[in-house]
Amino acid sequence: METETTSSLDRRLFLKATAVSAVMSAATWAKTPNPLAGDVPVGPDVDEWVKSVCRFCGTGCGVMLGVKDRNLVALRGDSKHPTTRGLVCAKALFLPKVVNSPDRLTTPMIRKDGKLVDASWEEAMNLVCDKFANTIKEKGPDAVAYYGSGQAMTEESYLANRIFKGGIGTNNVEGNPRLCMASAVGGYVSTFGKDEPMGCYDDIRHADVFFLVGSNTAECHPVIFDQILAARKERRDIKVVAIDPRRSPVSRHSDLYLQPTPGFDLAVFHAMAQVIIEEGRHDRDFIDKNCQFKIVKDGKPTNVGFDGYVEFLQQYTPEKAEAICGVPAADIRHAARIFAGGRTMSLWTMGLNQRVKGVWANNLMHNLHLITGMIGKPGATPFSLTGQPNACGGVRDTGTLSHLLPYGRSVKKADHRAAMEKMWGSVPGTIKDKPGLHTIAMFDALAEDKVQAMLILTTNPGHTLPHANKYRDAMGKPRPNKPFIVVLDIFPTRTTELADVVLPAAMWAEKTGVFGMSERRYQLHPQVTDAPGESLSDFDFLLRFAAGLENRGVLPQGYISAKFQNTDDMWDEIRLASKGTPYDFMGITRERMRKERGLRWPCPTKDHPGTARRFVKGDDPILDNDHTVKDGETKFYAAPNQKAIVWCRPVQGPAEPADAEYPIVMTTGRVLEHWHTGSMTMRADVLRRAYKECFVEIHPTDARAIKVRSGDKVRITSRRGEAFAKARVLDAPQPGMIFVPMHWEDDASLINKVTINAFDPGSKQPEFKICAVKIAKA
Amino acid sequence: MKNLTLMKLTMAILVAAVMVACSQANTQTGWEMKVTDPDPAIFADNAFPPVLPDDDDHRDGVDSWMQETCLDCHSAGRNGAPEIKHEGMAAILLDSKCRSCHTTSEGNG
Repeated sequence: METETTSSLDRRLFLKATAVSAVMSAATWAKTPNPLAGDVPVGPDVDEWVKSVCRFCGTGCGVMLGVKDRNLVALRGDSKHPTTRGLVCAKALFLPKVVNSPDRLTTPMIRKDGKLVDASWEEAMNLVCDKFANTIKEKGPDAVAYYGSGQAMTEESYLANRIFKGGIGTNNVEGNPRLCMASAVGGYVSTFGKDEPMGCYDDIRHADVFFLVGSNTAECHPVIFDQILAARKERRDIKVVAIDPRRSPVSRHSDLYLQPTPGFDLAVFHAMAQVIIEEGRHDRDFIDKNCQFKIVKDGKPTNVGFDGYVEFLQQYTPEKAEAICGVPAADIRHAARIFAGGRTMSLWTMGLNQRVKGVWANNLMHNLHLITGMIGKPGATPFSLTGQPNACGGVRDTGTLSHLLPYGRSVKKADHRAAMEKMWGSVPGTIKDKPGLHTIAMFDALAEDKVQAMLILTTNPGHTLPHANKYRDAMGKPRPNKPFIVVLDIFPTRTTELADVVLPAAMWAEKTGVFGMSERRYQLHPQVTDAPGESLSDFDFLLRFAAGLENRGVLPQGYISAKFQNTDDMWDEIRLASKGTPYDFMGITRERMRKERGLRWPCPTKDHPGTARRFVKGDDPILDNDHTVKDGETKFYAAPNQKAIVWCRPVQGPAEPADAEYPIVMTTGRVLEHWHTGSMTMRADVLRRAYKECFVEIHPTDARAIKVRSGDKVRITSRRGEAFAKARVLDAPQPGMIFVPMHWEDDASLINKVTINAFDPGSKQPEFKICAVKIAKA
Repeated sequence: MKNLTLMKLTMAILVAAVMVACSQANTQTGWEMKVTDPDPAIFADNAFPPVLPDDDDHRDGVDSWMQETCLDCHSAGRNGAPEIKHEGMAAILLDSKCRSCHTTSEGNG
């Protein structure tokens, strides 16, 4: 069976053959100032370099935008950025091509006789506002819904939340972070009482051990991985441990790699905890001061104490865990000793989150840090990485999900609702006391025509939702009483094709607003160029939408229009909404953000430097007046009884394990050069050509069984649909497992037609990472 | 009377046809992304990093990801590989993996 390797002879021949062209390329690169090198002087190519932040993943890389004649003509890393220090990845470097793409949407479109045709903004807005107002009046506020994005600016998500929850009176407010981060949120909240990481990127420079779990950091968060590489180059004793069912560039270069059966890694984490305690590597003093131990019995959390936890772990000794998850007991012991042997930073992402037991997996990562005391110290922290630039600041923190209100508030709590209604000027009682529909339930309701009008901003659910056939039909299948779908985006996508109204959006560098990234750092990205054609920012669209609803009697007159003209106005209210909460960032003013390279909350006053580590006395300002802890000690003040919870969670597998009919487990993910649905990165020629078409990684054993070689077309079929991809036969996935990237949007390659819409009962996040399929040569 | 029956029958067939069409219509569209490259002249000189030649070493080799692997050949020009210099580049960038910035673009080489 062929695998993708090349002989050294071929390698030498090829290098000789390509040497001349490569030397010429390198020579050209060296001729002129290197746009990646330090501070690039303003030259004839660039009028000015403007400080900003990347708009792709949640790393939040500081970037400098090269502007000439008010066009974005180049991008480089910002060497003065305190955490990313000039690092960027290829996706960011090619952003100027995305922004300047001739394929941008430039004119509103309305569907007439089945086809989208150009329209004026006035005509489109009248139609949108009439449809929403009439639906609300005739069928009630819960017949409409908002589906937003971790790519919208904070001001935009906050405004949408304000309009729908506090104005219209529906909690049907969701966003794509439900698909990527909800389990991380559930993990933080259930363990520590409040969302968001307590650590920061500074910890990378202090850690002795990196635990990379369910994270292809090298490709999905390359700048984080590059910082780990830089740290390891400086200190050769640093250890990297990777835990992932699929070999990736991370696992290939780790010191220890554990490859669990997909969906059963919870057994690894428990077994590591068992070893740590059995060998006395835990921190009993830290545990006694900071932790409580709970198990869910008869549906209720019940205290079990440290001894109860130790007893619980006996069912997950390394040998028993090996039988469950396939990881050798010796490797589990080795991992446990490395984990407890130095300052450990754990980093994880979708491999843990996109699971039906995603919250539990997150809990168990926190458990390891709590029992070892590897938390709240430089270099020691659990840390969930984020996939979008503003899922944290824009959606999680502003509470733009169906169960939340801004800055740690809940729709279920009367005082939280009252506080937001007072601030927003809502009619008392407008905010409902029950969570609205979460993402999967919302699109299920759309399929049943119960939600009759939906606003979709800056996201592409026609591509990203699992069980895509079902939800694409929900949005676009012609039928009597079909719901009315409005989509605002920068490019034509698999969602705009389903919409009744398509509106052209301004992008990132064409508008001014705030992104909040994984380490609680809020950063301003300024407008440096103009949006093409008639495009509007989501914010300006929402202002028009609100005014239209005010004029139609759905929102109180002046509810939005009398208060906000631009994102600067909105930021002042947003800061005020955070005041007195654990997020308090009253000190992160617009003026500071324009000058500084972001600030980490809490940051309660204008002279506060921001907080590197939460819950740590001397660093977190919320503990300033607490004299029960000493400087450098932790206090989990947001948790019940101010102690973090170590959870006893049983090991349970995926929703749809492989079986005789569908014997292969499929997982999905990303490649370095592309981002999410590819609607942006596929428009940069070089990135697009990095991979000509969608591929499926197949283990040689499985490829042999279906007589497939690298390059052959493979049919991938699940109980929900099928897709096709070109085979890459290699031992990256384990036997019985395939991997397919999610970026390609053509009908044949749209892999979410295959994925499953089962979701975590706590976080409601779908299990994109595991479903059962069968494969055949196509 | 006969015409009325015929009309009713025709209407019934039409309604049934529409209903069948509605129920069977789905949202598979034969979608193809339209991609138009922007005019390269609008960008600054050297705005974008060079692309790696398209070969297995730069693409799919198991160890193609790491700088050490690249520098095996490129640091001293071994095996005919061009010697790479990033003069003036910040140290942390020099420590990162090459693939972070340099993509392998299919057909290039």
